[in-house]
Amino acid sequence: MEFNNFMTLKKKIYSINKEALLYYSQGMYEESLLKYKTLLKLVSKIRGLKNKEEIKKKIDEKTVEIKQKLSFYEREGVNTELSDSKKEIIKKLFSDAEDDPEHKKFEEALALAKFGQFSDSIKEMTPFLENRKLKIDAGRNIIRCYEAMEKIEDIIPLVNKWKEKSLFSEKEVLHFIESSKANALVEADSDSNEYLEDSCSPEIMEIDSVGIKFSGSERFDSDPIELDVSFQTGNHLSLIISSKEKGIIDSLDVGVKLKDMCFYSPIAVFKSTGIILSKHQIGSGPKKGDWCLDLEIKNPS
Amino acid sequence: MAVFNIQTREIECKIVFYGPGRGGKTTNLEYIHKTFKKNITGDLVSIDTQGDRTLFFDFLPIGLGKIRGCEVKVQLFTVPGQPQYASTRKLVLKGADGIVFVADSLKVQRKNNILSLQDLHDNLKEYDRNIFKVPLVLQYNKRDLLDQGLPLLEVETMEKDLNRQLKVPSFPGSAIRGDGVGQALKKCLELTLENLQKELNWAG
Repeated sequence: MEFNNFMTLKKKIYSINKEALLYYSQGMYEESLLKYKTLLKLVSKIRGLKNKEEIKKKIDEKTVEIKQKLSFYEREGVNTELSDSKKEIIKKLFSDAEDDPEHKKFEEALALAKFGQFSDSIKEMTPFLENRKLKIDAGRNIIRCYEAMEKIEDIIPLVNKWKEKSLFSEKEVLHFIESSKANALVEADSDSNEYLEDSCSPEIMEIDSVGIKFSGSERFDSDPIELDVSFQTGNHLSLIISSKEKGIIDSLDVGVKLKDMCFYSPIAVFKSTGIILSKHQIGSGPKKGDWCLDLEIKNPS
Repeated sequence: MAVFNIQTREIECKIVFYGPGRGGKTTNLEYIHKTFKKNITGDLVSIDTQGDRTLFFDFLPIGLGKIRGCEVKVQLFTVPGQPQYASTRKLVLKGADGIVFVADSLKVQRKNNILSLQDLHDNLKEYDRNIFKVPLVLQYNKRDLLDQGLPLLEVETMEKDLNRQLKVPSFPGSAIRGDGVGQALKKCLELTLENLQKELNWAG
């Protein structure tokens, strides 16, 4: 090899090695690994290089070390159990319903779940199962925590326990199961299928909006009010009502039976009755302040 | 979003340091914590880290004292930059009143800068917010690495990549040395408070 070529190659090796080291120091392991691979190729090609095998061995060692680092970072890190003080910080920083202490506590439990602290979230969410306003949301979130912890098989016994304690009706329990990953277990299990068939309501088509007529109300007596459906599972609908519609919100309390309802789907309109299952004010996001109403369609005709 | 307590004349706002993974967001906060001691009102908390990477967020509360008769408190947050922490990033971004986008000047990070800015745009959109209207500044971090011979993007290239449409204030910087950190934060706070004045009329 000519002297000039050798010097050029030496400079190149020096430069690549420096880059690899700097990327490593920046924590940019993928980039560093690439540089070491380039370096290894380059060194392997040089004929008559003194200590060639030793240099290659060192590069290999560095490559192994970086790969170990990368596999460490690729592991799912978000399931970390945080210290109590850090959990408190999360609760404080990510719950914003400050004017309502009860709702704030609920949001704190929710925040824990969002940051992967599922067991604590379940613990703090459980008392809300007895809260008339928040129990449906609490139930949903507890189930989501079980799903996130991949304890799917525990969901059905859990919701059945809620039913035994009369925290939820049979239909509410069924709704929880249907909208959770545990539903797949139910479908696979013939015994549970019987349970489903026994209590499942008739299939309901996709509903875009509902019309509610308030009989006996001076304010809403003339025309039915129309509300958009934000979410539907079977015969359970979630509606969002703007906070400006105070009259409507006040009229629709949990347990209220709606005797004159119209359901509008893309292919048909049908009349039926409904019952309000839950009502809560949205505490965050673009719809903050608006109300979410869950209702169940009864006796579709 | 910012909280304005009209009785105590106190305003609390949230600034989020956003950007690609390994770009220097935490280093920015560490420098602020170390340097602006008289403004620091609490500890710098990291929740949680894996090695030296942020998994959830960093948090640093600061106080700006009285501005136009109002006590101004600021919560500084960083998001986790790695793509796999998208949901945490979105969660931390929620309610941000101002954003410092920390771009990495390393050439190898060019694509990641662009992807991260796109991610910011998308996440803001999901919160019904427009990146063109949010108080935002850009910081082109790690300019110091030029001295070490690492290939860096030209500031002009970064401007073209990231700021051609946004046209927001931008600052070359080195968070590890502290260059551009204070300037970027100060500008972001100015824009944020101006914006909050329009929204909340806190300064009367």
